[in-house]
Amino acid sequence: MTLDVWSAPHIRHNETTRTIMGDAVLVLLILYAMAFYYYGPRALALGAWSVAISVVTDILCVLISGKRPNIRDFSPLVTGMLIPLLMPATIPYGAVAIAAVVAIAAAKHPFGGVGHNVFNPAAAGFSFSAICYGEKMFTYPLPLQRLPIFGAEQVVNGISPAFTLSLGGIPSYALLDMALGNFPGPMGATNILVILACLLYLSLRNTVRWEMPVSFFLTVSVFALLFPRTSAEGFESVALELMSGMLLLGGVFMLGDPVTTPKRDLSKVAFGVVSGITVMLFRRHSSMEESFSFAILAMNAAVWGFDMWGERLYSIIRRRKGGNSPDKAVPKKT
Amino acid sequence: MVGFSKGTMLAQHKEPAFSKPVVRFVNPQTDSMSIDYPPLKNPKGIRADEIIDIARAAQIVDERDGKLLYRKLVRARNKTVVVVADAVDDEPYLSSKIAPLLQFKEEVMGGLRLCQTVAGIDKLVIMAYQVLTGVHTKLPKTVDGVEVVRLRGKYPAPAHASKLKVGQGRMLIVGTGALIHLHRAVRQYRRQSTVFVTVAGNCVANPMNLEVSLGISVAQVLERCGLSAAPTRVVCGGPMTGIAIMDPEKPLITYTTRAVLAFRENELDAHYSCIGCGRCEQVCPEGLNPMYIYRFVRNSYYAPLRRFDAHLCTGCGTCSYVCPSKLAVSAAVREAKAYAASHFVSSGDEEVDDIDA
Repeated sequence: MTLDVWSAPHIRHNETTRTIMGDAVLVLLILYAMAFYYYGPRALALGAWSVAISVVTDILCVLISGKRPNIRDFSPLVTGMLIPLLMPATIPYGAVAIAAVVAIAAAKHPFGGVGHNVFNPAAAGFSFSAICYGEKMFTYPLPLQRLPIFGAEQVVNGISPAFTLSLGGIPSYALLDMALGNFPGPMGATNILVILACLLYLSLRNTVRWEMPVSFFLTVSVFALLFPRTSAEGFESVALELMSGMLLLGGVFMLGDPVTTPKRDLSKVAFGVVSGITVMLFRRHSSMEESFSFAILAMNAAVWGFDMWGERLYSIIRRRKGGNSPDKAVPKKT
Repeated sequence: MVGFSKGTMLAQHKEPAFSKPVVRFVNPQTDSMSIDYPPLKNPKGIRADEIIDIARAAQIVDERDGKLLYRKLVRARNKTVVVVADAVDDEPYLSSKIAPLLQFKEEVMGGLRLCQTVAGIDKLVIMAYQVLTGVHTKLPKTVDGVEVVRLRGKYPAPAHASKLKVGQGRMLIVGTGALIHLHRAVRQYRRQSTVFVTVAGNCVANPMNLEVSLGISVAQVLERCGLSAAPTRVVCGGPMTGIAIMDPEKPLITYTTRAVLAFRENELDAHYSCIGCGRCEQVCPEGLNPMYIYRFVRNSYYAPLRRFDAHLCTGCGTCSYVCPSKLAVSAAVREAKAYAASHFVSSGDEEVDDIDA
């Protein structure tokens, strides 16, 4: 009997990459259910279209790079599902397709595919589409109207709170309505309470670490409290900043993406704080209505620095606790 | 290391081997070998140097670290504040330290008291890993008047944890198997010819703890317990740290073989790439970052490894265990450790392990 060679350990945890991605897919499906409730079948059609484009692009990229496609890899599914949720329900199919192609073929695979991408694919795809389509990207329909799958011309548009805030006004929507998602905005980003429930689920499942979203939201809140953008002050300013635009959805799904964040707990907290400040500065000084994805891309570029800072910190802790430093030990070979 | 009380919870799978009696599976020729030592003048008041000489003549090896017991006794003599009987089976499936303790109480305690005579102190402690669920046998609070310190919680249960509970100072840690053999050597003049081995795994028909003669092959041990299916992986040692063997006929049971495990599994999910989830560094008990070490080693880029302290790795295997992509993280960290040992570090780390200063 000849057996294969294996390295220890010989037992493995039963959670796989598929479990992690499956968790993300599950909560995104819930957001799609909410989008279907508010905007009708067009929401689902946009999602299916984006997923199809992402998966096909992903398989093509994998084949071009000479590897074997892995059908158990759900990561293009997650990217594809996330992209339309960041956009209005009236978005043309072309904008979604461009975003999906850019996300997979420009932001993910040139850097080495799953787990090696420097920039969050969904953020990169959305940013590219936002530059290309501009106006249409930020024209949001009023919720609770059934949009047709094709040709969404006769649609009543509303004014999103993010737009009002960027002009310096105060949105007229009731805060309870905003918490329930009953206001114009990105397709999946308006369901505040549902997204918070998703964050709770994901952090309990250890798919998203709680440190970073929590420190990020706290920083944004403190920033909004201290430096309100409009005449709304105190709690109202905090609530409006948190609930407008894609801040909550992006904070959980794009900023919380484990691939493009620092790994250490302490560096995650630091990253969340700096990201919060960056996002708020982008909001204040950008001419665009929604600059969140650009802020995320800027922060993603800095992840390596945060990681190395975290490693340095932990190596100091390790050596304080009694581990000897390789620098102080006498080298064997000169 | 106290600062990083991490690690992971493991399903223990200790039953049914744990609660079954230990069965002898010995070679009759080696089992009756006795040591060549003159009879004691006063067996009741045996002296420390006599115990050390007998341990030397009986060639007893401590199964927890593979060192000769008499050397450990010489080093610990009059310098130790506490003698610890090590019955910590924190790896799943294993019960080859704790089961002999429960079955051969008199012999373990006899060996422990002999170590006490050598060290010349009063304080004795038994250290055991408490499995909270799924076992039929309860750990006693004391054995023959000696306190059983129970380690709980996550794998790996480090020896450092015991330091907090039994006080500061040097301690002599001896495995229960070596204590039993020390007792037999002193009282019956028998050489160590057996070790205690757990035989388990998902295709072993009759998992149990065996007292096996040294030099019996792994295949014979598996045959003794029966196989319910053809194994795809046979492991000498624990499931987290053991070595997978290629041909069960060839390797033999040695002094440090703690278990023989046979698994049958399907490895369908084997080709994911690292998704950078960072779970490995969340669980590393030494506070290392296995993810970056893995990436640098896989890209053969060794220079930055200096700052990642791979030489501190204890080889517990927790990083590979939690990896959702099923990568050989722990093997890469061991490679980095070997590289660090030959290029960065040259201190005598090996000697400070058993008797902590």
